[in-house]
Amino acid sequence: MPIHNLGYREWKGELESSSTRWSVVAEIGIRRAWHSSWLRRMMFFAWVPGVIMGFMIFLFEQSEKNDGAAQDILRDLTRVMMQPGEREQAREHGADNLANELARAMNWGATPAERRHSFWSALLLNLFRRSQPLILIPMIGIIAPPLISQDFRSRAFLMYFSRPLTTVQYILGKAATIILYLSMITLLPAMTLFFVGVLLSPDISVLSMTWDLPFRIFFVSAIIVIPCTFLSLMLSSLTTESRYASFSWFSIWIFGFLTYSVVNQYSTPGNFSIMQCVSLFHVFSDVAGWMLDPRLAVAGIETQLAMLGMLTAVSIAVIYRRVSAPMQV
Amino acid sequence: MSPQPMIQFESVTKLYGRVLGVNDITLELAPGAYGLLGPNGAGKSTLLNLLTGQLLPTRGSVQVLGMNPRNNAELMRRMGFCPGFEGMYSSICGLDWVVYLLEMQGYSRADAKRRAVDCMELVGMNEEGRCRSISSYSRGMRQRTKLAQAIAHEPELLILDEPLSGLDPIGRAQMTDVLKNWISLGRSVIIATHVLHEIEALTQSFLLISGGRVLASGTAGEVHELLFKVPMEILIRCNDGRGLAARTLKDGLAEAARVTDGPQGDVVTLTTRNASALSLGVAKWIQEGDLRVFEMRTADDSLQSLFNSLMKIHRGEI
Repeated sequence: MPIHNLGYREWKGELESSSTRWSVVAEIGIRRAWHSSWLRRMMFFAWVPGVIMGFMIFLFEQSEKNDGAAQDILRDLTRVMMQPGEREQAREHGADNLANELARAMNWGATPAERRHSFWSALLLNLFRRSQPLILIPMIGIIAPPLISQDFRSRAFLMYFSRPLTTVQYILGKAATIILYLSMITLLPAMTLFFVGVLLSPDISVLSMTWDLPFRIFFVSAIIVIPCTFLSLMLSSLTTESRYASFSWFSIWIFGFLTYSVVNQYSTPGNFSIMQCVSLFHVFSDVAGWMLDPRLAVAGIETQLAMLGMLTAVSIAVIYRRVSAPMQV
Repeated sequence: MSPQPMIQFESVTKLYGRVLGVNDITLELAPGAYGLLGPNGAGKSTLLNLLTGQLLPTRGSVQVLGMNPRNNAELMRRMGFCPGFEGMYSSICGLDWVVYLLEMQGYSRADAKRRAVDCMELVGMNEEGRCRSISSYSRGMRQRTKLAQAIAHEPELLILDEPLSGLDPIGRAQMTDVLKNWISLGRSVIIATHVLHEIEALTQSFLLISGGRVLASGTAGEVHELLFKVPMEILIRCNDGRGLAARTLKDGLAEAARVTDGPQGDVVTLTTRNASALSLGVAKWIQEGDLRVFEMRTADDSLQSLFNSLMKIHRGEI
């Protein structure tokens, strides 16, 4: 009778290239984050504004076909959301809420192509400026803080780095975790909205009028997601307690917003103060506005872009330093 | 020409601020199995972290398999590490954890899964166990999972930090068998522990480390010989401490004695180089009815005594 050797068996096979190793780190992060029921709920609610805006695109297309009912609904919707006197203000200073932008979109442009472009841009602008940041902030507050800090605390980083994994691959994997979730609430709904618009349009020629929007959506998403990702990862890498990273993350937004409000009260309208850059909420709002609608006059856009670039660079440098020398934490 | 050493430490010192981790270690180890023996805080983990490149030496240089281990992906492909700490995510299952780590080694998802299942079975993790979340694991199961991930990619050099701690006797026997099998395949292993008998079955080569220095190296027999020569402290609680101290000193069974009065009898601490002769002597006096003993045990861990003595030798006190 042959006796089977049940002991150690050698493996003979080919190893894969190292270029996708970061994706394993990302996969672990994505799966662990998805265990949070709060994250799943947020993901659901993150799509509600997109669905509403999809419905508005439907109404817009119906109104363009001279559907009286749709025109009435869209007009009423705009009127309901308008503040007294804001229509005039919007015309003078550009838009600062959904109703104004809708009004502007409806008043601008003589041809259907111009109107459509304006209307879609206005909707996308609202998605990026108002609804999504409100979900993005708490979502990162859930996903990002434990990503690196918990590895430091549990010393899981030693397990990672006892593998053929470089510091850059580790950081890339952690960043990809956040980028994926954020893309699902920024890039994906906006792109879906755009394609819904195309599908609801009378013919495919609409693509020739709106071809620039997907690119704009991509760049706006990137300019919001990348700095947020690295800032939150930096906070996570600075501590072994994820709650401190969460606290710092929310503080940055809250205190930034409050500082902006105070500075704004004492500054001359239309003048840009560098202090306004402390509010990430307003910086992202301005940058998104500038990228999606070039007709919007945004004061200090170069400074704001430079600030975002610097924030990202500093965050990456700090993360790299911390991850390269984890034993010093 | 002599073969390339597996590990080379050249005047390596590691300081954590003002705290000394390892102190001026110069060492060359050929491929093989080694036990790194030392009490808690001896510098074992620092030495292992220097080997895995997690720590940079403050002074000197470390070479593992002919390479600098710092941020060296190529070396990590050839090395397996079973840490003494947890280092695992509690929310995922053990099998997934091993699969992830194998994927980081470059295994495809399907290969990694097959390999992880094989290795977890090898370390005694059944299907029910390996598919549960790590948070529900006992300490022994965590140890097994860590060992499985360390051996799964077939490293040339396996570094194990306290691999048998937390395992029950059956688990220890199983793990010992796995490691014996591993060593018999001609692979190199370094096992850090503070319990000598745990690794005696695995290797005959030991490095004794204490106070951040490699104090001695040799075989298990040589360690036992050293242990035998080292003075040992025996604590005896009895009805006549002073009488016992006098008799042992008179008969040459002890070199020094200390007597303290306790609420439950006198406590005598005897320093001896021949514990068995002392035990026989005490047993004889009990039998003769001259002495009532309530408790008798070693006052210190024998290995700790050995390390203390070796430190004294290094300081020139003995």
